[in-house]
Amino acid sequence: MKLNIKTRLVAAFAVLILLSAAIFYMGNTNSASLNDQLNTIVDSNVKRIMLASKNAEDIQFITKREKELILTGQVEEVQEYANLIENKNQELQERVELLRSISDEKGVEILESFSAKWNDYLKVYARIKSLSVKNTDSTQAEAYTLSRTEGREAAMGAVASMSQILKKNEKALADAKLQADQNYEKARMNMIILLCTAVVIACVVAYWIIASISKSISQAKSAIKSISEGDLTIEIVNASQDEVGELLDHLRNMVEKLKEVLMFVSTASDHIFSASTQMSATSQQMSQGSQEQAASAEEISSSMEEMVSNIQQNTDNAQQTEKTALKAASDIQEGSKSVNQTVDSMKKIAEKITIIGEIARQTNLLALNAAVEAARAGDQGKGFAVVAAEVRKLAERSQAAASEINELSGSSVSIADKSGKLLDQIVPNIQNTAKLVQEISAASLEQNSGAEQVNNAIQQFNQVIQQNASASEEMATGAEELSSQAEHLREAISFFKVGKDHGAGKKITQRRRPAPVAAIKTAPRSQGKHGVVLDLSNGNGSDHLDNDYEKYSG
Amino acid sequence: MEQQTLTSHSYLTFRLGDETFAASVNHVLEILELSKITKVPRAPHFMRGVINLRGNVLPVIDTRIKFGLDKADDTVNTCILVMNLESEKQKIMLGALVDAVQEVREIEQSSIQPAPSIGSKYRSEFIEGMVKVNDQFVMILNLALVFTTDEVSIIQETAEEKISIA
Repeated sequence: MKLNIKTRLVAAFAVLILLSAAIFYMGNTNSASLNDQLNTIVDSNVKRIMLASKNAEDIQFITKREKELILTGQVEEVQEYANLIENKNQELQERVELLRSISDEKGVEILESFSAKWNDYLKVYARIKSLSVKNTDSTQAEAYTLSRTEGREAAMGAVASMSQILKKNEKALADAKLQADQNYEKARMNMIILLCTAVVIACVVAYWIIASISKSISQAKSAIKSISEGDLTIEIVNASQDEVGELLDHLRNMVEKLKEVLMFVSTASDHIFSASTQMSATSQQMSQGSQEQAASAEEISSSMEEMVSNIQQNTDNAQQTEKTALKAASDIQEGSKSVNQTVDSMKKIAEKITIIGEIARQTNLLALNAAVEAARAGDQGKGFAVVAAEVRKLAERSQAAASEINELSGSSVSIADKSGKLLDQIVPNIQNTAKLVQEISAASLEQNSGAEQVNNAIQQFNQVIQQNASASEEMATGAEELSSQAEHLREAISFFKVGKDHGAGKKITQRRRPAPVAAIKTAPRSQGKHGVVLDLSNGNGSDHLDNDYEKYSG
Repeated sequence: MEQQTLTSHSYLTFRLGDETFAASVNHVLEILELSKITKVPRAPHFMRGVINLRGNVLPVIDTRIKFGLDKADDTVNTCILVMNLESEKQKIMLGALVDAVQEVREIEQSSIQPAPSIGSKYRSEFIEGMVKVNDQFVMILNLALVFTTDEVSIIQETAEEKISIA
């Protein structure tokens, strides 16, 4: 049966409340009976006593006034005393009636006797009074005697009746006191018994509850103490099934969860540590790479500036070349004209030479004819024949020379013609060249602006690289910070002991040193206009980062 | 004159095609430049036509055709040899077209070698002999035989006809 603490407490308190209620009821009942008795005493006995004593007083008063009435000799005073006595008697009668109403049977009997006696007295008094009114010495003496005998006797009888009532009621009072004492004793005994029972039950129940709770609570207390000291290896055994048992269950679950979380956190912090260390190294490498990049970009920028100046020079040269080419074209046109003129002149010369050749030929013929004539003349013509032969030879030479000149002039004409044609061909070529050079010039200008843009872009690039470098340095610092935080986290977690399997408490002894910053080495600026040589070999040959790359030497 | 002819004679050398020929200056009257040749109808095929030589009609023979050579175009060097041929019956003048006239040369009779009878493309009776001048053989023509009487007379007649017609 599962009795949880609430049920137990409720049951215990219910029992205690019931016992308390019983005690209260008992006390209340006793008090009520006592009150009833007291009321009875006060309302009947005491009142009777009071009334009786008052009556006795009044009887005394009346007897005294009766004496004075007797003693006084004056009618007025007698009447006055008679009035007083009448009034008192009235009160007395009323009181007697009241007493009668509250008296028991015996009392009523006594009152009956009292009334009889009093009526006797009143008869005596009426005689006394009538004697006193006569106011003579005899009457007075008679009245006095009457008063001393009959009156006194009746009054004493009435007083005795009242004393009887008093005695009777005093005895009743004493009886009531005794009764009350008895009741009180009884009630006290009952209440003491009940209280003792209640105390015993409360003690038993309290012990039971405390005993059942205390074990679990002390278990929980020790478990929580262990946890507070960071020891999570504790075994929590739960035997009870009440709230504290549940508490222990939850505590065990909590410890398990805490263990898991701590293991997780420990592993995570391990990972964070290694990752942040790696990140630190990587970002340092990145920073270094960025710096190298920046240096390279600087080199590129200066190379670009050189290129720009080269392009400028190219542009100037191209413009110069264009002018030169245009001038050459016009010169060549001039030359072509000259050559054509030369050709014409040569042709004229050839014509002239042809005429000379003709003349020489005719001379030759003439000389031949002369020679024939001379030969036919025989010896007489011999001398002439010699002359004719000489003339003919001269003519022949002239002819040969003329024909040679002719040939030469012909070939010259053809050559000059060819030259002219070539020159004519050259002119459009040169003009074409000039146009091309113009295009080259325009292209160079465009190239110039392009190179400027490239230069600007490189500058921006450079800025970005610088920013990257600083950012990655910051990142490295951040990663360092992160790793130290991870270390702190480890240390914090190492406070908890979760068991042998998990190295949460293991101290990290080997801290990964950041990778040595490779020296940024830029190749010396190559002289002249051959661009730059970037030495990316890191100063000492290739490292593992170069394995992914192929090297080409140019 | 007879004496001289025995020892040495003057010869006019000229060219026809690749060959050089020589003709005795005794038959040569003069050398003319090629001028307009008037064609004569019904003339022999070797006769080019006639020219006007100082008022006389001179028949002109195309020597290349006569010698059986290929016909060739006239050049500036083409000349007309005005020859005076004496036969037993008559004395005739005619012109012969040659490719070029070279020179008047005296040739020793002794140096003249007889023409080979076989193997020459020319009829051997036309050739008196051969002489070597400057490592080149020159054929000495017998002009009287070259232009036979018949042919010459025909030419003469043709020329005269032409003239009479003219």
